[in-house]
Amino acid sequence: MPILKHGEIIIDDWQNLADDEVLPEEGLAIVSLARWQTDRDQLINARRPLGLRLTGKVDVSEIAADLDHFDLVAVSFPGIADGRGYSQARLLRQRFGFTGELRATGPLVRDVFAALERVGFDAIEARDQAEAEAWSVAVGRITVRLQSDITAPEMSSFQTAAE
Amino acid sequence: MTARIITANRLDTGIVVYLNQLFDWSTEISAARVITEDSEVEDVLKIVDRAKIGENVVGVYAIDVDDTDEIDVPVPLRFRERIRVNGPTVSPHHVTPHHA
Amino acid sequence: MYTYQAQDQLLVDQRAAQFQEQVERRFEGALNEDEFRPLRLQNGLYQEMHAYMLRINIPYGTLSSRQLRKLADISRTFDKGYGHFTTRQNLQLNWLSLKDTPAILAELATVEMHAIQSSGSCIRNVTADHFAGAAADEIDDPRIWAEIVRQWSTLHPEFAFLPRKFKIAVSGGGKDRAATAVHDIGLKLVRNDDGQIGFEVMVGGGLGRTPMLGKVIREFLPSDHLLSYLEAILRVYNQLGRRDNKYKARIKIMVHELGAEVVRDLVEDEWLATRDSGLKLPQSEVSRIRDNFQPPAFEVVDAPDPDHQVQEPGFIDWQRTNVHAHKQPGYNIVTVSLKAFGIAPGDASAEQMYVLANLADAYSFGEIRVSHEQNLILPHVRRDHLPALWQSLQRVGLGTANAGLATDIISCPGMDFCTLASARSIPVSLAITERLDDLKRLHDIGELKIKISGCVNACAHHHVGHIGILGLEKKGEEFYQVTVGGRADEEAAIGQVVGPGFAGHEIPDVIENLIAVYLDVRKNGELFVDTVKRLGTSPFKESLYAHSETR
Ligand code: HEM
Ligand code: SF4
Repeated sequence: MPILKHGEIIIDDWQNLADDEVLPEEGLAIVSLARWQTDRDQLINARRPLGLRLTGKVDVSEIAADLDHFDLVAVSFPGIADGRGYSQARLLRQRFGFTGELRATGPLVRDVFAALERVGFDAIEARDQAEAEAWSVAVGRITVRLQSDITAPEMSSFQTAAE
Repeated sequence: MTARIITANRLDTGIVVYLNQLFDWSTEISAARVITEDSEVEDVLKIVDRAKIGENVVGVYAIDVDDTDEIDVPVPLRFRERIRVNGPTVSPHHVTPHHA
Repeated sequence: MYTYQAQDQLLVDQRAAQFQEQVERRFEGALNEDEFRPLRLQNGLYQEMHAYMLRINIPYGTLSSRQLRKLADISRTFDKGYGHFTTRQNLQLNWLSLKDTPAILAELATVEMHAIQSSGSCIRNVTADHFAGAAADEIDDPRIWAEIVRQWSTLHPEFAFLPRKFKIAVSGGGKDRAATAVHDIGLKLVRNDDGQIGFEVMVGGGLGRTPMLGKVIREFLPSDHLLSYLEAILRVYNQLGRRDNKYKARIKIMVHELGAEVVRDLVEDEWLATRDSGLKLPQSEVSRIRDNFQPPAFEVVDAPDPDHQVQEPGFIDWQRTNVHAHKQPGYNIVTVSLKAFGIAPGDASAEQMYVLANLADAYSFGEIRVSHEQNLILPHVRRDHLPALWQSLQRVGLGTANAGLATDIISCPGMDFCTLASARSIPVSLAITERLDDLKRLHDIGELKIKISGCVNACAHHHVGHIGILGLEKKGEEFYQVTVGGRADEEAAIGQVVGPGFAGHEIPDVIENLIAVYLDVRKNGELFVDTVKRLGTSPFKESLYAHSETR
C-alpha cells in the first residue's frame, strides 16, 4: 500500500520485521513492541535506525522513556472505526515530544487523512493509489478547526486560530 | 423447508426491494423469486454477490415466507417483514399513507 | 441565540460539499457500504426499514423561527411533509433518499444547521435544559456552555471514532430538566462558596440494555477548565473503553468495571497534564459566546392576568399544565404539546411547523425550543398574550393541555420505522392516549411520565419513566415489559420491572390498573412516582397479577 509523507507519495525504505525474523545487515527495520522489550540491548547495540510498531492496546506512556531510540513509530488502525491511534499519536507528539516519523498504518481512506494529520501523523499508509493521490483534495475539504490540535497546540482559544 | 425470498433496500432511495426471477430488484413482493431449496439460497446469494447484482442495494438477506397461498403472493412470516412490505402500521392523519 | 461566525458557516458549507463527494464515490463504487456507513452516520444518515432517515441536530434544543421554517420546507420538498422530534432534541426525517441528502445538508447550512455527528461513535449533539435562559432556578444559562461544547466537539480530530456513541447534557443547576444522570457526561452548573461558576461532573450514565446512572467524579470544576476536563475524560475513554463488544462499549461499562474512583484518578491525572494548556477557556471567548445569549428585550407588562379575561375551561386546563413560571415578571414559558390524540408522539407536520414559526415571531421573540420530552417550547411569552396564543395553537392541533400528564408520552419510532426494533411503540402510545382521553381525570392523576421504547436500546428512556414500557419479541410475537418508579430528574432512579410482560393490547388496561392503585393509596399531593417510592412495587404487582397467577 502506498505511503504518504507530508502528502507526497514516497518510496518506503522501511521494512516490517516479524518477531522471528533476524535483523537484516542493513536497511531500516520496524519491530514490534514485544520484540523491542525482549531484544532491547541487542537492538540498541546494532546502532541502526529503528522503527517501533504499536497496536491500539498499548499505553504509550510506558514507552515514553524509550522514544529516543526510534526514528519512526507506526501506529496501526485495524479498521476505520478503531480510533485509539488518534489519542496515542497526540500523546506521543504533544506529551512525550516524539519528533521522528509518526506513521498511521491502515488501509486508510482519504476521509480520515485530515484528522490523522491534526493529531500528529506525518505519514499515512493509504488503502490504494487512488486514495493516496486524493490527498491534497481530501485535506483541503475541511479547513476549519474548532479546537486546538497538533497544528495549533498553543491556540489561545478554541476558535481564534481560524480567525 | 420454508420458502424464502431475498430482500434488500435500494442504495439510492433506500426503499424495500425483492430479488425477482430475472435477478433484478423489484419493489413488488409479488414479483419475488421464491426459493424452496435450502442449498439454493446460498447459490442465489452467491450469484447476487458475484454478478454485482448487489451493487445498487444494501443489506441483502433472505426471509421466510408463506407461499402456500392461492393468490400466489408470498407473505413474510415475520411481523417486521410484513411491515416492510406494507409500510408503517400507523399513519399520522397529516401524512399520506405510504406505498412502497 | 448563537450566530455563526464566518468559520462556523464555512465549516458547515465545507462539510456539505464533502458529503456530496462521499455520496458520489459511494454511487461510483469507490467506497463500499462498510467504508461508507461510518461516513454517512457521522452525517446523521441511517438506512431504516422503508427509506433513509436523517437526524438533524438542534444543538441544545434551541431553534429560531427561520430555522423551523427551513425544516418545514425540507420536510415538504424531500420527505412526506412531517418530522419527528426526539428525546435528544433532534429532528428525524423518515422518508429520504440518499441522493437527496447532500442537497438537504446544503439547505440546512443556509440556516446555520447541520447533521454532523448526530450519529456514529462520536460526541453527539449536546443537549441542555429546554427552559434555559427563561427558568427562574438556573445558576447560569446552560446554552452558553453547551455551545462551547458543541464547537469543541464538532469534528474533533481525536474523538471521531470512539468505542461507542457519546452523549453530553448540561443542566442549568436548578431542577434537572436535561436528564443529566443518564448521559455519558452530565454537567450541572453550580456555584462554589466564592461565588464562582463551575460544574458538577457526572460520568457513566446511560440506558440501553444495562441502565446506569452517572457517578459524580468532580464536585466543582471551574468553568474555564470545562474543555480540558472533557478532553481528559474523552482521552481516557478513547483508550480504555471496550472495543471487543458493542454492548459493553459505552463509558458506563468502563466506569462500572474500573470503578468510579479509578476513573476519576485516571481523568484527574490526564487533566493535570493538560489543564493549563491551550484548552483553558479565555474569558474573552466565554464573553463572546455569552453575548449571543443575552435575554431578549422584555417589556414591562401592565395588563390584567389572563385568568381574569378568559373563562374557557380549556384555557384554564392548558394554563395549568402547559404554562410555566418565567424569570421575567409578566412572562411565561409555554409547552406546545406534540402529543395530540391520534398523532405519533413527537411528530409535527410542516403546516404545524410554519404556524409555530409565525407564532414564535409574534409571541416569543422568534425563539423555539425542543424538549427532550418530544414537545416544543415557546420560551418567552407575555402573560397577556397567552389566550391569543392558545387559540392559535388550538386551530392547528397544538393546543393539547397535557404537558407532564399521562398522555404526554415519550415514544421511540419502534418497529414501524426502526430496523433494530423488537416491537412497535407508536401504536401502544396511541392506544394509551385513546384510553386516557378524559382530560379531567388526567389532570386529577397529575404528573405521570410514560415512556415507551421498541427495544432494549432504550431510545425513549423507558428505564427512567414513572411508568416504562419496553417492547420485546418472543417467538415472533410482540410483548411488553413494564417498569415503575423510574425518574430522570435530580432524584434520578431506574424503574423496577413489575413482572412478566404483556401483549400490546393489554397495555392500556395495565396503565389503568397502575393508575387505579395509585389513586387508591396516594397521599395528598403525592405524585405517582412518590407513591412507588414510598410503597415499593408490591401493591402494583399484586393488583396487576391478581387474576393471573399462572402467567
Ligand atoms: C430510528 C432510528 C434509531 C436507531 C437506529 C437508534 C439506535 C440506537 C441505539 C443502537 C442505541 C443504543 C446505544 C447503546 O446503548 O450503546 C440508541 C440509544 C438512544 N437513542 Fe436511539 N435510535 C433511533 C432513534 C432514536 C429516536 C427517535 C430517539 C428519540 C426519541 C432516540 C434516542 C436515543 C437515546 C436518548 C438513546 C440513549 C439511551 C442510552 O443512554 O443508552 N433514538 N439508539
Ligand atoms: S429503542 Fe430500539 S426500536 Fe426504539 S428507536 Fe431505539 S433502536 Fe429503534
